[in-house]
Amino acid sequence: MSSLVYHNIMISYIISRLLQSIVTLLVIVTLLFFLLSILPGDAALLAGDPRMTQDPEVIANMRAKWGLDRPIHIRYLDYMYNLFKGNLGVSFLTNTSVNSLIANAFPHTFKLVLISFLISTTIGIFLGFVAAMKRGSFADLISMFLAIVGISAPRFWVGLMLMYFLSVSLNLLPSGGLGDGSLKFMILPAITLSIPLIALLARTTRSSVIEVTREDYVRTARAKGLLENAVRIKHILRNSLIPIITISGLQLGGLLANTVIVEKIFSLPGMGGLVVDSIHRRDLPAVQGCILIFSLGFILINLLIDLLYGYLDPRISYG
Amino acid sequence: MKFIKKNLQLVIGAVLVVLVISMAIFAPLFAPYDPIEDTNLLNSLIPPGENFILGTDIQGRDMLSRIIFGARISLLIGIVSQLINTFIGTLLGLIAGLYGGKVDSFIMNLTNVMLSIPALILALAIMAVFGSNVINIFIALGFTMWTHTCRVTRAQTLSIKEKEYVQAAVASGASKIRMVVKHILPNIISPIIVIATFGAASAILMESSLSFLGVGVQPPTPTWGQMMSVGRDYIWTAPWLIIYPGIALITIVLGLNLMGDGLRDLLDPHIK
Repeated sequence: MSSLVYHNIMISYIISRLLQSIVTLLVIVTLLFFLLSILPGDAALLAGDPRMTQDPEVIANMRAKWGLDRPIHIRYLDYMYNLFKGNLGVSFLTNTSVNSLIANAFPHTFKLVLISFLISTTIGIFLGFVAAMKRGSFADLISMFLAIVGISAPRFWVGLMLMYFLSVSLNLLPSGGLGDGSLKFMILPAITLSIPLIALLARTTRSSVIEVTREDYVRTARAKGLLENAVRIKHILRNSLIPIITISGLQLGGLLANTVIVEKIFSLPGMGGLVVDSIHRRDLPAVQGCILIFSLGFILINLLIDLLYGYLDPRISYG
Repeated sequence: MKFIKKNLQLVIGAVLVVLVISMAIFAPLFAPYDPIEDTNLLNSLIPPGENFILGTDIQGRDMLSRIIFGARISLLIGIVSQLINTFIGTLLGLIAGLYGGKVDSFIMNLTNVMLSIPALILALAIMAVFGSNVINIFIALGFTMWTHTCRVTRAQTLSIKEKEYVQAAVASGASKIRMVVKHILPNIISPIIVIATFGAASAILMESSLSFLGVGVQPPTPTWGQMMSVGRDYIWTAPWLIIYPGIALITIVLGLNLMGDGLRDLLDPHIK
């Protein structure tokens, strides 16, 4: 295939995937809007001051203020119109724009997810690779057992245990909050968020590497006298990467979602904390905005991964 | 003996799962105290010791008894949510695979939408909208984790539909239902069992996370997630409130995950 043709196919693939992502996002926004609109209990009433909400006039005013007295399809169109302008609405509770709430929370979550992702991929792939190279050894057995325990333990339990042993008992690390913003406040949250992914990536890497080791081209590479390290890095590791990247990508979204738990344990201000608080307080615009951002993150990550495939494995075609 | 040696993971997993299942069924026999009624504020937060092997909670209830009874809810959630997920996933996968065309692309798009919202966040939102009780947990976990089953079923249906012997059967007048029952279901049953086993493990984990976030099964029904959620406030003084329910939870989830691994190796020797 000439490079120009390939180039064109690539571009039309990217465009069609982008369009698909936009449609998916629109469907999510619509479904969420209607799901959240059937919330029992009057949102306007719950967002208001409990001392005043007995007064029907106040409730009516509040409903009018938030536009909740309009028919649902008008509200939907209004919401979508604002969304196209990049406006996520105004929080019922804080009276500030949802955009600014998210803009304040997002950097913290982004930092946490990024650090955890780096930790998980580095350690997870390394452990899995070593386990595969020493397949059947005691070290392999132990690390794979630890890996399956790591997948089976709830994140918040692991987090609380780390907090108990490292901050409460030994007083080594801070037990929560942002502190002065230094890295040591991120250590426990990042480890907590990472452990299940380290475990999962170690398992995936191990089985993928073992599978690739059996391929003919690895035997050929060894037979033609390449150094063992060259075979391991260039042939085995590179070719094992596709399932590893798939899992990493899928789980990157999982990391994002699980900040909900980790930020709650360690009292961090972020998207996770924001969405949980907003759900509890029935702050619909904030809930909707947060879930939208989570989904957008998910969709973008998946898109990136699909594009990465082609780069890593030229056998995959986009035709 | 040979089977045990060859399928060690499956056997260990099954032992752990059977252990928790019998704990749930025979809870009243094993539990030394009543998990809900035996409150006594004089016994509040007693560390693990002679009378209370795993200590007591803030209301003076025996932790061991609460953990034993808590197995019931966890198992129920794992089983019911996977029955719902498996039913939805298989049905949609079959429909997509058999009918193709617009129906197929609609179902596949629905799957993509489901996959684009993090399951935990979706479940959290569903619990918040409909309220915290056991039925809604079933809904939140039963309607959000079917995508994997759906994809596998669809892929298998597509490939089996094209097989010559199936085409021959259809040409000689076999109905769609017959095709599904005779040819497709037998082929998808083992991957579906594996997916459901792993799914039960993640549903149990997810329930505990929802409880931890305060939207799970509400007291007084004892659940492991809720016990740990309460325990979080006493981590400085009473860590046993968190440690032991967590170990119970890990036991069942680990058992199911080991079983899933073992079953996959046993039923599908290609993947290993």
